[in-house]
Parts: sequence; C-alpha cells; structure tokens
Amino acid sequence: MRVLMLTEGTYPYFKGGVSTWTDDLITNLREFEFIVAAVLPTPFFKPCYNLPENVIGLASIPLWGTELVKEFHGEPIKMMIKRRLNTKDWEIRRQFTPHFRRFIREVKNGGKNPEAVAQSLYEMHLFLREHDYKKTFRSRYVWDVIRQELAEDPLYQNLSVSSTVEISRIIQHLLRVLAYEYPEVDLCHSSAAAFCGIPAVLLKMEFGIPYLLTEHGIYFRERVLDAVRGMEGVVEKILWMNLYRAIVGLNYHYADKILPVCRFNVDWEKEFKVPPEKIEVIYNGVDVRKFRPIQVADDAGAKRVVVMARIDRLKDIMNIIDAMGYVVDEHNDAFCRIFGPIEDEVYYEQCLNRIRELGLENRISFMGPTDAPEVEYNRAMVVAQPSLSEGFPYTIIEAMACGKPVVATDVGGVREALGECGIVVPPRSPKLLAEGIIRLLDDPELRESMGRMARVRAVKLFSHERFIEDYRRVYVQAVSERKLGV
Amino acid sequence: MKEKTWVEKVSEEKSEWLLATRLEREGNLEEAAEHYLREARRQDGKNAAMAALGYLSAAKCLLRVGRRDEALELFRLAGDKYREYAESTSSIAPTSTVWGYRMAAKCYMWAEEYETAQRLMEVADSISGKVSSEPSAGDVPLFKPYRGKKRDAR
Repeated sequence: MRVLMLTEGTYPYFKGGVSTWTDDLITNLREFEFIVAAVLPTPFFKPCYNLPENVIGLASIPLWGTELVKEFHGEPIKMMIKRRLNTKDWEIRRQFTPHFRRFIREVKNGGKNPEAVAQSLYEMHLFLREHDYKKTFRSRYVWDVIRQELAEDPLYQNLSVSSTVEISRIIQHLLRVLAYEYPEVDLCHSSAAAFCGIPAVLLKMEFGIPYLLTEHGIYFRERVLDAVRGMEGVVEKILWMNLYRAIVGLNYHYADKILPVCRFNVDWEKEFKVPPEKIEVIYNGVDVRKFRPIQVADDAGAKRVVVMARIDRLKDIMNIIDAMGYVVDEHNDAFCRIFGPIEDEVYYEQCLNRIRELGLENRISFMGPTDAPEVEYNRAMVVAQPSLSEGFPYTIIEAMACGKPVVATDVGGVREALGECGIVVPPRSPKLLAEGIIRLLDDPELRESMGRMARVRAVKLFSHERFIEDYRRVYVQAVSERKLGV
Repeated sequence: MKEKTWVEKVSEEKSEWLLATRLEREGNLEEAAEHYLREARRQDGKNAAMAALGYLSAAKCLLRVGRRDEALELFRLAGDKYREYAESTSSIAPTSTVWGYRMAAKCYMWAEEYETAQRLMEVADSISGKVSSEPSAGDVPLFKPYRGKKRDAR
C-alpha cells in the first residue's frame, strides 16, 4: 500500500520533534511504501535523514528561492518552456482568475465554506498543472483581482499599496503547492493542518483518496503567535489570520481522520467544529529500552539542568536563560546545557547577548545537537522545557523514560504527558520556571520519587510499540472505510 | 526519448494495491480481485491487517460478479486475519485490538458464520469498556502549575 506523506518545514530536511515522528513512523511501517512531499522554504537544503528503503520517492516543494517553480523538481526543461509558451493572457483571465477571485473572497472571511475554498484551489491546480505558474501570477489580471477584492472590502480597503503588493507576493509563494502534480496513492498523511495538506485535499477531490491528518503543534495557534510578534498593521494581521484559518479549516474538513498527538489539540479542533468522531488522539511513543535510567559516571551530583530544544523563538530559550539567572542566585554551582540545532541565527545572537547581560557565560552552554540524548538526559539532575508551543514533546517523554524529573511550561500536551510526574509552570514566566528547578535541586527525595513515577508512566502509556501499532491500524482502517465502507 | 516527471517515475514502481484499486474503479472486478488476492498473500505472515484487507477487498469484488462461494471463503479468511491482528495487538494497543475484533466479526457475518461473529463482537465490546488507560485532561497533577501573583519583572 502506498502512502503520500506530506510535511512542511520538517522531515527530511530539518531536525525536530515532527521530523523524529515522521522518520520513526516510516522506518517502522516497512510494509507500506512512502512517497514524501516536503514543503520547505527554499530548495537549498539537503535531507538530514537517511531515507529508509520503503521511501520510493521524495519531492521537495520550495516556496521561495526559485526562479521557475519546478526548476529543482526534475521536470524536463522542454516541458517548462512549452508550458510557458502555452500560457496565454486570455487563458489566465478566463480560466484562472475566476477561481483565484473565489479563493480570495473565501480567504477574506476566514474560509467559512471549506468546500468553496477546496473547489477554487482544485480549479487553480488544474490550470497550473498545464500552465506556467510564474507567468500566471505575474499577470495583471491576477493583480487586479487582489487589488479589487481588497479595495471593495470595508475592512481591507485602507491597506496601502505596498501592503497589497506584499500580500500578493506572499500568497503567490504560499500557493506554489498547487503547481505540482501528485501521484495517485492509496492514502495521504499530512503532518500538519497547513499548506502541505493541500495536495491531500486535491487528491481526495480527484481520486477519493483517504486523508489522514496528524496534528503536532497547533498550526493555527503558531501562526497567530508569529503574527502577533512579527507583523505590522492590524488589518494585515487579520488578513493573514483569515488565510491561515481558511487553510486549517480546509484540512480539518477534508481529513477523514484527525490524529492529534495530545488531547490539548482536541479543544482547538473542536473550535473549528471538527466532529468528535473524526478525532483520535495517538500519543507519540518512545523507545523505553533506549531511553532508560543508566549510570553516568563522570559528574554525578552536579547540578546540571538539561534542555533539549532547537534554538528557535518558539522554544523560548530566553525563558530558560532568564530562569537560570534566578537559579544561580540560589545555587551558584548550578549550570545548564542546551542541546539542539540553531534554527534562527538572529535569535541565537540575542540569546548570547542575554547570557552576557546576566553574566551567565560560565553557567549556560549551547552544545549543538547530540547523537546520544539518552546519555545527556541521564546526566541531568533536572530536565527543563521552556517552550511557548508544543505538540506532545519527545523531550518530555524521553526524559520521563530516563527516570528524570521535568520542569516544563504548560503548553500543548505537556501536562498530559507529565501527569503527576513533573512540575508545570506557565509559559513566559522565567521566575516560576526557576522556582520549579530550584525546588527539585533542593529536594533529592522529590527528584527521586518524581523520576521513578515518570519512568513507570512512560513505560505504561507512551510505548513505541503502541504508537506504531495504532498508526498501522489507522492506515488500514482509513483505506477500509474509504474503499469498503467498513 | 521522452523525459519523465517525478510523478511518472514514482508511478513506475509497481503497486498491486494501486493496480487493483484502479481496476476496480474501472469495473474490471475479476482482475481487481486477483490483484487484491496477490497482495493479501504477499502480506500474509507479515501484516495480518493488510492481508485481511486484501482478502476482504477481493471478496467484495467477487461477490459483485456473482462468485458467491469463493467470496464467502475469502470473507472467512479475512475474518481469520483480522482476528489474528487483534490477538497480536492485545498487549500493545487496545484500541487496535478492539478494531481488529470488530472487523473480524463483520467478516464472519458476511461469511455467514453468525455465532463466531457474535462472539467476537462481544469480545470487542468487553475490551472497549476497559480501554481507559490513557491520561486525560482530568488527571490532577501532583503539583499544580504555579501562578505568579505579580508580573515577572525580570
């Protein structure tokens, strides 16, 4: 059976929880053949995973960084030239812009009618399969649609020309997924309710192929956080939120089954009116034989706080830096080791500056990624997780399986994972994060009892076997239900 | 020679499933059933759930072309495989076990083995009632989350 696995900004080009999850799933479901279609920022990334043998195809879909849309896609150059020459202005005006207009209208109201969103995307996809993407989106007819649709709407009519140009530019990049062809498969599985899910919707419309959606972090919530932080102009923010809402709603509507990694996500999905019977929580699983309590000899007794997170704003590394400032006030021999790749260089520099400001140069170290996380967890006296957004973080359940006490922010599925076996604090609260760490550093009995309970809980609830078996069943179930109505 | 797109390249890889699905969609049910059966036998011994789905799909195709006796036999085989799947997951993934027994029950019902079907449905229901080991939002953490009274000044 053949599965199209859809990813965005993760597997196989970037490390992280979602990539770990994808790699784990594909590697362990060897009886299925996978084709991976990965949406990524630019084409200039190389896979950082060895693709298992059951991956029979990998297609990258860069949203930026290409002059011609499929130039890094192995498409024959003759085909590109032919398509370019065959794309006429009148075709764009008659066959493309009506659907584009419909799409923009739906976006303006947040995609309240997902079937209309899907139909407009599907029609655009049919057109772009045969016509040149760049020529189409550079056409004045497309520009006219955006300008008119925004100008006639009381909410958006005061947007500046430069904002309108920017919106037009970004939309044409985000919609690049429409320009590609996708192979007929037995099942589509998207790892986010994002633009990467659009091919699954298109294939469902074309062939009736079942669509499974696993939700890790809540895509919509993360985009809201991005918008709050990054964009200027309330109206622009509203438009982008409406676009993301439309895309998320589209994914939820067309997915046959939604598989959140934790119950926390279910509340967001219900907010989008997803019927409860479509939702099944499948927790991530951890190899409890690899992640287990082990004796680590070198600096036993050191007050080492370990953080496993990529260096990224969403992981709120600044939170643990500030927290360590408070911790060191109480325990001047405590120190923190942060393991993970640097995803955001600018943010990394800000973190280094903050460490210097607080005089913590000898207390906090960025160690880069580690190949032996189980060893580093076991070296920790306390494992901390300072993030702003999470799905069901591997770092928490791995630390639990290693029998370590965890202090973590109360985001995503963290509370569900920890249960009674850790301390949760509100996000963006370094003082409270520090209090949790200090409490554990002060109390060896508490550390010991929490760690013991954590190990038992991880073995009981978050086993790798269960995780894999549930997905194996869901794959077969989705195809059965779709094909046979059973 | 014509160059190939990536879709054409990946589609060259043979897939019994895709072929069978396509044939079924085109109404070529007997040939589709053959490919489903071939896939079921390939999966037999490796993945009971996939094998079961293969037998079940083949049975449905044969039933539609009037080869009833063969179809009933395949329904029974599918039931056996779903039951095998359910039993193999019983200590690992209870939700999958319940699904496996329910599917087995349906297949036995189509195979007109009603008593077996009823018995397996009861097994599924009894396990289903016990599947509640997952944590829920109602779990009370040992330590309530800290709620600072003052805004963090640092």
